[in-house]
Amino acid sequence: MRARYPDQEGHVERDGVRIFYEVFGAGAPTVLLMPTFPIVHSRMWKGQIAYLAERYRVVAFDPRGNGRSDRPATPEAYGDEEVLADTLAVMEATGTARAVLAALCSGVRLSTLVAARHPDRVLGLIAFAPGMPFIAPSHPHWSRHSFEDVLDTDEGWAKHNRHYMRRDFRGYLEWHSGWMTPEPHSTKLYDDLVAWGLDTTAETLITRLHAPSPVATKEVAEALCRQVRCPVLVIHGDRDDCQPLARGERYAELTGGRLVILEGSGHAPMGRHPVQVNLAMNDFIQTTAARASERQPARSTIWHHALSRPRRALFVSSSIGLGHIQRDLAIARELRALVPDLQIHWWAQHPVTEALEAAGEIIHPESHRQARETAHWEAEAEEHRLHAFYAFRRLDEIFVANFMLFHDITRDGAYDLWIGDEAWEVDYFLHENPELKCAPYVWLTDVIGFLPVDPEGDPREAALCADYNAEMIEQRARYPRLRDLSLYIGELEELPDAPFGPGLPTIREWAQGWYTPVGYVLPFDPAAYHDPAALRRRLGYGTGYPLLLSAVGGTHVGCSLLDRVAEGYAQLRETSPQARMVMVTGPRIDPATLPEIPGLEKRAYVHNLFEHLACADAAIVQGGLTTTMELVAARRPFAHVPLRAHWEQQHHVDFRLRYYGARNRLEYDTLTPGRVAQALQGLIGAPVTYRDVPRDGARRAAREIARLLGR
Amino acid sequence: MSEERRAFPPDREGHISRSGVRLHYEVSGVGDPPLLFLPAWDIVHARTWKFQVPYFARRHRVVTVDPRGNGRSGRPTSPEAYTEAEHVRDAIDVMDEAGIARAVVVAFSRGAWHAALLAAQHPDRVLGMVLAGSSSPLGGPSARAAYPFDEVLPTGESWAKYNRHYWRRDYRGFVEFFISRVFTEPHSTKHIEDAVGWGLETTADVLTASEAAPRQLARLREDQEAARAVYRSIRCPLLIVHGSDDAIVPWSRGAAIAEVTGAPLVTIAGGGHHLFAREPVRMNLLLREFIDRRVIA
Repeated sequence: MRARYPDQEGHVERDGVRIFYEVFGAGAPTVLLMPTFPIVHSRMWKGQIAYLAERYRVVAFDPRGNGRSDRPATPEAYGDEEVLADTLAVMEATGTARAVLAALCSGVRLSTLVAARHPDRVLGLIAFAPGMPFIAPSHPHWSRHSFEDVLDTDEGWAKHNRHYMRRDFRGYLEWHSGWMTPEPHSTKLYDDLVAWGLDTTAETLITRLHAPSPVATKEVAEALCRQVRCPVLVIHGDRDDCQPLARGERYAELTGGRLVILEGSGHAPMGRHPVQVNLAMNDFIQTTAARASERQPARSTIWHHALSRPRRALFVSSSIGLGHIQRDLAIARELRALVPDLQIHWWAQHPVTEALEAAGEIIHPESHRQARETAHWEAEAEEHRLHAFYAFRRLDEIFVANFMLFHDITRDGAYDLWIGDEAWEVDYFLHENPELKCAPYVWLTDVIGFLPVDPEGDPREAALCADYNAEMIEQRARYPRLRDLSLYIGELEELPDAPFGPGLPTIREWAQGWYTPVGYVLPFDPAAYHDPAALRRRLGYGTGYPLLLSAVGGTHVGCSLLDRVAEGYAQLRETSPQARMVMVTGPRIDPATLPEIPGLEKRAYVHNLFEHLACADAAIVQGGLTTTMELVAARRPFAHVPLRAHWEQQHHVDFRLRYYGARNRLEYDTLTPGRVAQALQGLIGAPVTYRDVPRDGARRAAREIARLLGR
Repeated sequence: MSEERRAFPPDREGHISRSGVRLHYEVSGVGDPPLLFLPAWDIVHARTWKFQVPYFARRHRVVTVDPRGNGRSGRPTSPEAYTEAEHVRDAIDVMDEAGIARAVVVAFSRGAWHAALLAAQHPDRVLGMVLAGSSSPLGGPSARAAYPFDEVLPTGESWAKYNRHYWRRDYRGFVEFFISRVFTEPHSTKHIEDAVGWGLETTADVLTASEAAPRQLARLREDQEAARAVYRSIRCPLLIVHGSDDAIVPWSRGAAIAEVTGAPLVTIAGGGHHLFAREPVRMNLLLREFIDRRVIA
């Protein structure tokens, strides 16, 4: 899933070569995201597009040789003059008279040509790691080995060789992506770079490397830079193994540009440091556009004196299903009891916003601009299978886009407190950009640490989980001040005692030092539901027959489980014809797609699901935390079917349920309708021996939080 | 009382003289563009910029001037010495003396009206302008218009203190009242003490002369189209800031200037008249952003 899809796409064709472009947003000015060496394509800007398109019009196009553009076969077709003409053709086709250009590496050489020859078309130029040859010496490693000759080694920089590229293109890409990302914990960007490289071929890149350029001498290169009249921003990492920092410095000098040095950064800062890059780009575009009168500054703003501001908290409720919102509302209720003058604004996405609206809460008006996480999770899901860690990892683009929005609405300091219930993007990018924190910040979670679901079969998964955990541990150790409170929803004994990874502490041991446990948070008092018969009458179910319930959370991932449960229920009716089943499909599954079976009532939504759970004689549910724990609290017999490959359901929730004494776990792989029927039959009326679920979790959480507000 | 220790003592000071009136100015710091902080009404003097000078002198050449009538400037007592034309000329002469061809001009209150005229009449001298609590012929009436200045009044309460006879009788009482209306925000004791102190450095006679000066502003209030024309002829980048609760110059005047010029308006909610003093951090950041983004971008 992308964070934002183009509003318009198309291609231009020149001499039979098609160049593919995309247009996003409708603001001013236009930002033209330039291609570079076709080892990557326009997706290299994925961390920028959603943010920039919120305020400007963004045009991106794929280079000759990669993405959805054509791959001509002659070096001449990749020459600077051709790419320059492509650029003008794309501007023409998209109705772009003038634009701010942003480019990386050799894309900067191209952009410099555009700016020098067509000054009226370029408002400003953002030059990442300028690949302007001759203006400063290249890294010596580039000339250590011949590109053309057959070498007796392919170690290190000897890999930059046409014969090696042909022989082992993936090996070449892995090496290339490796030095592009010297920053630790860059696995996702590295994977992206390799994947974009695999979208083209070794032959195409070799052809491109022989393309002619008019920038053939130092004199030409310097003269070209000096011709640039528009404002220039240079962004360069000091660990860039492609373009030495000295080149960026010289480029800034020659063009009269401003230089931002990113310490520790390699050759792809837009991918690895998207927040800093986006803020720097925005700043530059804004001032450049204001200077060119392409955009008027905001007409009217209001600043409130500190003492006249209402006391306000921003509650970021993560949107993975509907599980967290009831507990967040419970914590909010308790918090308001302790801090009566506190206004709470919610930052959330559909379908969470539905529950918030139903509760009469205030949803931040910009909230709906967020890129949709739920759609991402659903796109990642297969039949009762969701590799939650890999899916989480592929949220990287959506996380950047949504963090930028969060930053936009919090930067003016309008909030006295930020509360993030598993607000992963907020937590991660605050630690990456600690200077952006401007309010006390509370982190809540019921899960700590990624644990692999297939360590034997997929060693890469285990290594990545360990790397993610290690990064989080380092972030916490380096910036303890980032979180004013880390609340664990549960007691620490409810955490698996597994290690975070090789050489890393165990989850429980580490959590002892870094978390405050508040006990499990229930959105209701289970004591109020100890009379199931009365509850059944109140909910209109009546009594005198076994009432069965099945639910799968708020996404459509559980659809196949409901199908199978329906079939199992049909079998059960053969032996227990009086049993009735209520199937709660949630907002994202159409009940009509499930089988029609007598005695089976399908409901898209029930208000306060836990009340229905609390009066069921047996239930069969997905392995999500919220629903299973509500069944434990209501002391109902139930079986849970964890999503396959879902690390949290497979490890954390399962561990916690066993801690509470709920051990009826079913595996989807072996879950035939017969097993469903058998399981339900065994559960009806079965005694339970669960541990009591604490009733004061929300209050304990609220008390900790209220202290940050001086209460 | 000894003078407060300054956070950034001036690098250079000097004076110019015109028609026998001496004007004292100070130059602090180096860097372009230069900033000219204009004097306001002469009930206060250049020290009213004390929260701006140290911050901006670290990156700009900053010039402040004592107004004719207060500080270390002369104190003429004829009304003709206080016309707008004199004030505009003072600004130009100080810039010339300090060797400044073009500057960002920062002003508030009556100074902001002089600044508008300066920018309208000398567009080549002004790079950009930030105006707060601007006196202006545009916008709604001010509270002090409730009582005539020249007549003997039966009361000396409230705005009836804004009266030449009252000033002779109880100048300190007037200054204290007026400054209390400048700073209507709670917890403003130090700002009030400062400003009352500056007000007492001049006299009722001087203030009376400057108040009685024949002023274009009064005429333009009767000719709104001509008043708008003044603002429309401003071509430099402009930022308007105004307190929503300004008890000296109503917010509607700042809003009217923003309206006619198309300049952005920052409203300080609950803010009073002298925002540069009462909200120094916010105002310094606004001014810095204005310079960085709209003047030198």
